[in-house]
Amino acid sequence: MKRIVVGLVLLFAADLGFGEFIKESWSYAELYEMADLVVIGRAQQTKETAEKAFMGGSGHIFELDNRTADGKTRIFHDRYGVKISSLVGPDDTGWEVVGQSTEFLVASVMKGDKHTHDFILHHYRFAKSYPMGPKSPLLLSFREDPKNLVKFLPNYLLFLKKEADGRYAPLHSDLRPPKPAVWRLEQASKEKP
Amino acid sequence: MKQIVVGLVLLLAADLGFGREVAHASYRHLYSDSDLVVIAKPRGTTFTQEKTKLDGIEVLGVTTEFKVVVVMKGDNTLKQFVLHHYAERQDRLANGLNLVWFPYDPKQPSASSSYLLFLRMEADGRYAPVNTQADPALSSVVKLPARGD
Repeated sequence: MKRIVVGLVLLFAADLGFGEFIKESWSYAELYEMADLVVIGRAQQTKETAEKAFMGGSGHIFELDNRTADGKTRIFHDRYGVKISSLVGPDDTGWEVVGQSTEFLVASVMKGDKHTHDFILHHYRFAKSYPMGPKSPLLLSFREDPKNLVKFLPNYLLFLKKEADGRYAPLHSDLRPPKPAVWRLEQASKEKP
Repeated sequence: MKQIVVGLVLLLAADLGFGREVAHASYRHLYSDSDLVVIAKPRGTTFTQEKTKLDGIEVLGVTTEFKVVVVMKGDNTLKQFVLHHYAERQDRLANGLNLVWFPYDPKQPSASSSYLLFLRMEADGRYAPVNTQADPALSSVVKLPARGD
């Protein structure tokens, strides 16, 4: 009986999250704990990459597997080889995204290699225009600095995971709804007592 | 005539807006100079008996209790601390200080914002903004979006 209940719970979780771990929100403490690098930095320049993929509602990246597609059912697999037949999003195919690389200058390292002066942030933009909904991914874009007026650019607090190619990605996997790990810093409240 | 008016306006603006020197520090320096760097949530503010002047402006002493969310530098076991800061006695049109105030509703403690704070420890065990008490809102105290504890 116990096995049946556990099985049903796992099936329910898989149906909701497509195999992802479901969690409503992460605290700053959890983000800090799981990050390889926590920094304050300024975006310098964004370059588009050749990477094209599909993004699930959790922020996971999936690639369309044409080899197993039967013409009706499209199969996606994530970077860990997990296969699914539909994604949350428009037409259950997720959101089509294009890879971006943004160069960051580090102002301060909170966690990780204290000698990090710059890094490349790997993120995505939508490949086309989508209507935004509550399950839509929250993708990043940064103001360009063509005249090198770096002192006027905003600072960001970033919780990052190192990728195999040396770039860093926002720590946001396993979240539903997605919670970004990149925050634009604001001045503290100057409200009167 | 037009040039005279423009000149007077510029002089007035300079007098009103740029009369007080404001301390700026990079985040790198703020971090290295701090005894404690934390993300924390306010848990209530009280005025103290302290009355003093910052850059010639009269201020009142204030303490705000904070609950620690994550320690980024300093004592990892710290769960809470008291921030010593100031509030202006009178509103000013210009040349005011850049002080901080932390809205907190005890009925909705989780609704309050989180803050990134760069702090130095004072002799009495309280913490203060690391670079200056006059303009903490410009660098030492950074507002973050509200999240769960």
